[in-house]
Amino acid sequence: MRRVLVLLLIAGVAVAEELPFRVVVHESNPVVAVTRAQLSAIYTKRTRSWPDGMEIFPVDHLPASRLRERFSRTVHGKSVAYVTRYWQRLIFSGRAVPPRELRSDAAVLTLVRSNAEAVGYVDARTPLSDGVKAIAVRP
Amino acid sequence: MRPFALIAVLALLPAAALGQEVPDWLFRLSIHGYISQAYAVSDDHQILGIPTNGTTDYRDLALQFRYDQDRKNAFVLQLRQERLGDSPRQRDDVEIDWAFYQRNVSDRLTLKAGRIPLPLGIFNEAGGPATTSPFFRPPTEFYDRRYTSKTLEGVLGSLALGAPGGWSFDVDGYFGQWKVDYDDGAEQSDARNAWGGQVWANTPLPGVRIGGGAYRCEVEPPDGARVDYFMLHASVEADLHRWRLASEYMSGNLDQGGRYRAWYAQAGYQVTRRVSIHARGAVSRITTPDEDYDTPLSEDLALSINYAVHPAIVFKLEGHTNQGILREDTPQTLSASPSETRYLIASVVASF
Repeated sequence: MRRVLVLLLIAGVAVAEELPFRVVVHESNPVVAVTRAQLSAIYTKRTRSWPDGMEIFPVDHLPASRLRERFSRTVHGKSVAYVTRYWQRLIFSGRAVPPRELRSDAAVLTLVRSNAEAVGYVDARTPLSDGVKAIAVRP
Repeated sequence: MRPFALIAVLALLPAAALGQEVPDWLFRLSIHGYISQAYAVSDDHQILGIPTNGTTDYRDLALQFRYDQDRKNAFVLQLRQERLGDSPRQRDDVEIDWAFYQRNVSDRLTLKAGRIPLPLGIFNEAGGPATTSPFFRPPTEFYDRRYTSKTLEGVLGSLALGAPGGWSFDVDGYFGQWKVDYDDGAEQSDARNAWGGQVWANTPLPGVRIGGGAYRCEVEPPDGARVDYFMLHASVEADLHRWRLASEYMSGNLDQGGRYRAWYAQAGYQVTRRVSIHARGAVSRITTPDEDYDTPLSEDLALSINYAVHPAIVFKLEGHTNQGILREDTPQTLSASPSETRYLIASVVASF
């Protein structure tokens, strides 16, 4: 009985920590999991290569998107406004440009399916299409 | 001007359209830009191009094209137009602000060659869009174009270094030439053999960084002998949850021109998600070599309120009180007695 309770608690914690988005890559990408810190580095372009040396092509949602705000707070620990300031500084100092922004989950899935280097995120409830797989996000 | 506007409109086409099947080269092309448009008015004297009867000819806009050929190679072009009211520094045309090639040697090391934004302090590179600054422009005291430049024609190397304990460092080194404003800015001088560097230490506390740097250049005034400038600068910046703090100090040996010193401090507080308030105090002084004059060029106190309708669209209303000799309706001489000028700038900035 005690073991069942512990299992239920663990399950409860897991549900409580379930992310509101799923990170998706092309089905040929061998990566199965990333940490939040790694994901943050990818989306701020401090990391530009997959472990096999392939270029990373991150795609984002529009700044006004609720999913973008949740992603930003979960992964970067910062608001979209803060991240926007970060990117404006890099853009207009000629250092780097932000990930491509797309309007919908469908657009993200379309792009990831057609690009082996891409990584994106979609609403956790959005069904995934063929050619795309979700990878785990670890704390 | 018309082609420039057309390009801007094309650049504003919905990014989402790019989510469809498109050629690879189009994905590698990024177009960004900003416009910062203001109405400005001063009371007793014209200052920083702001006349006493007000002006709307006060703006800064740019359009940037970046082509990332691959992970290693990128080409960047930025066009810019700046309008400064009635200022003698006014330039009429759209200018090529940047045109450079970038080589990403690794994730840590980057080289650039061409006409490049000059890494100097917090706002020099990214001062234009002003969405990174709560005021219409970064403090002119620190970023005075008689002693500094926004761009470098030459080469720049940038290195990002990690360190234990959550610290990281961004190091820049450069060599080349630029132009500085001469006298009241109507003419410019060449600054040759310019070299320098800057180091930013990013602390383990997110958003807090400390920087410093130096540069040296040989300035050739249109009607005078060559002089050597040697400038030192230091910066600290904290972009925290609600507070945004920044302070910078510059000290320069201007050879026969004396010694230039400038510093400022600014603080901002995010009142609501959209509204923030900011205050800034900035000072610049020049001391002649024989110490006949130790003159406050400018002492500027400013308050600003920002309203962000969107992270990239911000309305700003700022009031300044300036004490010094920056007034433009009388000749600027170090022997002039300082006067007080108040000016107001209402602006909106949008970037994409």
